[in-house]
Amino acid sequence: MSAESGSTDVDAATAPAHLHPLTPVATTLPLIAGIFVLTLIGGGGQAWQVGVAGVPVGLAVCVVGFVFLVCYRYLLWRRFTYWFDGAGDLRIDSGLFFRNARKVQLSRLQAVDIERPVFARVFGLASLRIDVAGVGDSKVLLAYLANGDASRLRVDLLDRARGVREGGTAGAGGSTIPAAETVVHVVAPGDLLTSLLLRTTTAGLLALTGFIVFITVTTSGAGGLLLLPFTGGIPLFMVVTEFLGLYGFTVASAHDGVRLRYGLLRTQSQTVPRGRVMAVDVSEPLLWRRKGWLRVRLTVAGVAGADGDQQRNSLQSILLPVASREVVDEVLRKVLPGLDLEAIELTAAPRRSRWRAPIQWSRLAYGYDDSVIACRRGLVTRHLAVVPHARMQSVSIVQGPWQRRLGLSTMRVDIAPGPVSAQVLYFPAGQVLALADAQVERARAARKEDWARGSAED
Amino acid sequence: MSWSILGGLLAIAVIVMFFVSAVPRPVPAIAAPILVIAYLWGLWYFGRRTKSWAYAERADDLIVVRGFMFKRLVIVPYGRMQLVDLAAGPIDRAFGIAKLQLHTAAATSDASIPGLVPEVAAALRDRLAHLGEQRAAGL
Repeated sequence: MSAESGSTDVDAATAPAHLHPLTPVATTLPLIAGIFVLTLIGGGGQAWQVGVAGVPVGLAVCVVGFVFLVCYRYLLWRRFTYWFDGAGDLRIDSGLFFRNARKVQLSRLQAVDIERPVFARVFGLASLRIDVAGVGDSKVLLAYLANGDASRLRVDLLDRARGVREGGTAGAGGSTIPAAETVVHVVAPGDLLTSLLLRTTTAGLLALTGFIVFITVTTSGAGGLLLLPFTGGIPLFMVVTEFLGLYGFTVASAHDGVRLRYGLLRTQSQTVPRGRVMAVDVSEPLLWRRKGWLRVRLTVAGVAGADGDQQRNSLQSILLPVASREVVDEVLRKVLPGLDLEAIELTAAPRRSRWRAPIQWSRLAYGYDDSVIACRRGLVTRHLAVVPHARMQSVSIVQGPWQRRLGLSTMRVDIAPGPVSAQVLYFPAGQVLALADAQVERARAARKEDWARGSAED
Repeated sequence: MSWSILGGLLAIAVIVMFFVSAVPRPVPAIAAPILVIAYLWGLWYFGRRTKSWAYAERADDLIVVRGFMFKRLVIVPYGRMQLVDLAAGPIDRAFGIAKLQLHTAAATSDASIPGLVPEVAAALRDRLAHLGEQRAAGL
């Protein structure tokens, strides 16, 4: 549609384009399906029996609702246009009663992801999510586009963004063919399922369920089994949603970073741009240790924007749902070039920290090298948070009354909001102060180096 | 400040309780001394806390220290400041003070300096904004 093909100049303006004409239908169908199910279940199916002039009320509601919504969304669709203005921006005009003109600065583009929800897939459609750096409403959703158009527009956006950043001279360098990528790792469905069942939360809840059922069955007979769906339902639900969401998790390496693809019903593809990684967290739940499995989550600028809390639990922050240490090391080197976790010497927390953290104190440690700082914590689920010095925003030291009694304090490496928290927990106050001062210095040096390298990340 | 307002409201509530017959007499009689003690403690606590607030401008970063029960120290490099806000509510203005708020890309780097004289605050803001621009490096 709008995505121009081949060798055209990336700086050129394009004519306003519409989304795919099936959009009104594709967006309305899931809603109507919902209403259909509701009317079917609600009132014990009465809505589908009681009829006015021979037509069941339920059917009438569905049909009228469908027609009405499709008409409304058709009007919206007609007013929704997007185009490149040739001055480095993607422009979007939308709105029926209240016109809304948006300008997406391509120079601030963070990520372009393609999503394919079930209903859209039926029509061969995909949506394009555009993340722009900035606080607040920095996400733009183009739903829906034809599959081919979506991937073409994605490449076009990335090319134009690169062109804008390099001063508009990138027309020759940017290739409009989807960039070649090499698959680094595919998570086997069996491993994924096992790992999800063995996570500390789910395994704990499942064990609790078994215990409750055992108690109730032995004390009050088989009737206790009725509890099963309630107590076992929550962990099972968690496992199933994550399994469906992360099914077929593929990590591929491309010229612009690492590309992730996952999902059974709703396929998501996401690019983690090189140099945009703010922090990673490598975790190892208790029951995964025998298998030697690890999970990696990450904070990327733009992906977790203002809605940091919402992102905390979302699948979008997962770099690897489950993998062996070798794979983790390989993938980590792709997103944080030059990272060698083995070589970082960790300093353990002093013995007296056990009065503050009786369980995890023996695992508390920190370490750093020229480019990153690493903080270890957690006994049951081990965590290792890694933050590149150049991505650190500020350093905080916090000390509560109990920590002060023990002469301890905690240093926090402040980073962009996301699932990773990097804290040097419970070290002697003097040591922490010196560490914080040195850390600020290291961050400054790393930032300068980053700057001098003229990195493409703005 | 908000502590005084809260104390005032609670005091009014207790006085009203004395005159509403539906409330048993002992309730306000017990509440009143508790309120007075809590208020005095609050004055002391928040007084200490306010006094503990301090900042230092260094060559490349700003340090803000605050708290006396829960102590915090934040070091914000000038190059990381995205926004420097100067805010003064109606009560702040009545007392001739203003609050400086620093923002970085991290939501957790909570660095604010309340209770500044407006002229000092404005000068500090301009200085910080200038330094921030000078040292600005990307995310």
